Amino acid sequence: MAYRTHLDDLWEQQIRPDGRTPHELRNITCQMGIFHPQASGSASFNIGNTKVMAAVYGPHEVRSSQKKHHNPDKMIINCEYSSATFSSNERKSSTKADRKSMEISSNLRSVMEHIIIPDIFPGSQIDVYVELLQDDGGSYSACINAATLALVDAGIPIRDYAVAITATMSHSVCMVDINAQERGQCAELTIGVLAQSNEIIVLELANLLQNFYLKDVLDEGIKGCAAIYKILEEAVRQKFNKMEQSLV
Amino acid sequence: MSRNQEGEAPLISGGSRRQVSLFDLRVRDEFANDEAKGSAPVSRAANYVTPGTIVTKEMGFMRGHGTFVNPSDQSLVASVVGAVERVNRLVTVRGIGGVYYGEVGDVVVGRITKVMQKRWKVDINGRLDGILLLSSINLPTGELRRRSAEDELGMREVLKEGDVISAEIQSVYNDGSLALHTRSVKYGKLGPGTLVKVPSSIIKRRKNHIHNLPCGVSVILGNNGYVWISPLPNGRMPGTNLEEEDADGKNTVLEEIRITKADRMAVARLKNCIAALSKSWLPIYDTSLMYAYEASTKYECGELLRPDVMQEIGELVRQQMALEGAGS
Repeated sequence: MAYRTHLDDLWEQQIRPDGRTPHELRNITCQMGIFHPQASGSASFNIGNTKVMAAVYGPHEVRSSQKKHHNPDKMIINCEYSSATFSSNERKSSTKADRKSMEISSNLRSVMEHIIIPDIFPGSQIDVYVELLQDDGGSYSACINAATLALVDAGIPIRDYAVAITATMSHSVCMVDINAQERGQCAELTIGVLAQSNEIIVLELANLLQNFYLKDVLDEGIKGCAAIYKILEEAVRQKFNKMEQSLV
Repeated sequence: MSRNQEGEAPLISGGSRRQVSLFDLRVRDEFANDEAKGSAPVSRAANYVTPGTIVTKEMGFMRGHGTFVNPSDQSLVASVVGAVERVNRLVTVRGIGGVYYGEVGDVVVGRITKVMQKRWKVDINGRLDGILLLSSINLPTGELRRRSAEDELGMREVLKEGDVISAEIQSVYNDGSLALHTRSVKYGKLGPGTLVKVPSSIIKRRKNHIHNLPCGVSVILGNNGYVWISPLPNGRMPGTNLEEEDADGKNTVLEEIRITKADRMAVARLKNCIAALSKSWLPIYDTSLMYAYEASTKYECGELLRPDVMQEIGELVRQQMALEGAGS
């Protein structure tokens, strides 16, 4: 028989290892314009101990090597994700793009391509750089939120906010916003939606989840996304109030 | 919402009444009339939208900057953060920051990125590089003639990659890229100085964008958000455009220019002032610059980089501008 720990006792009262209730998000702070004025748009997004920064450059003339086979009526969206050497428990030996970060880059790019109004700047390029500073679970969803905020900050026309969160089911209870400790013990479903239409644009599952739980977990995640959208919106609104007077 | 109703009334024709616009879509002068009549002035905050907000579900409006039409229900949706504005049928969202589009006649500051056949490509902070044709510049010698193959070969002697120029927008091409010209003594290659980048939207459009400030420094406030600060009058590099002669008819040569420490300090101070204005999102034009400069004099130049000092200067300038607004 496995040992019974104090965590199990807590869980009986539906309290998660870090003291949250199942539907509670970690503390979220976000800030726009952290690289103002070097980048066209930038933002930081912190959820609990997960910290992400994003910067958007452009639109500008196409300057990458893609130029050669680039259709002048199309727009290039370039997305680069990287994680700091000190971001996770084990120190990474090199900062070079590994397979995992390349995958995240390409996933992020497809999200960006989905929300940016297609080909609104023909012949131009938009660069999105996302840096993970600290990983305590839900880093990919944090990246999506940070990148969205940076796009808004840059004034790039987008259809809607892309917001994302993680969710799971454990002991038949739905939980949102999985931290690194919980991630080791259960499945992790990353859910990204368009904030207004609730259209699902990202769905990524790590580990196994029984399929009859999927709907509940999804619903929980979409609720979590709505909560995050509110927080992002608040940050945007604050920034607008600050800038309003220069609208002459 | 009641305000929306009255604003809408003249717009609606026929049976589209059922859908009420979510925003006050009156034309600008309607606002002005209402304010003159003494009704409460409409704040921009009331017209705030964020990407994904439906501006109107009515038909018959034109999609302007910062909006798009949702293909599923044909509603007009905002795509950037800003305030909704309407000019006749055209609905736009005026955002802050964002992309510099450029208008004919704008003064811009840019950096040469490429020398091409008969043209230079110039980074002007837009979505595409600006194009400066060989035929749209004044030759250094000041001759007026057709540009020959020799001129083409010597293009790099006139402007090379990395040079900073000031120019005016001559026209806008079909693809949205901007054609520049420097055919005036005001424009051309820039001499020693500092380039500051700010959001293009906070540069206030004025009649004049090139100022020789009383603090002995000249600034070029590019509409594109690039600001050039230089200790030389008009910021220009001598000997690169015609009519360089000064009063006694002799050309100033670069070697003769002496930039003193005081000049450099003034340039650095002004650069910090512009950074402070940009950080507080205050409009940048000659008056606001002078206010900021005056407010900065009680600090050492280096102290101006401190966030609290920047904020204080922003606050002082804001008060000054409010005073000025009240006086006029």
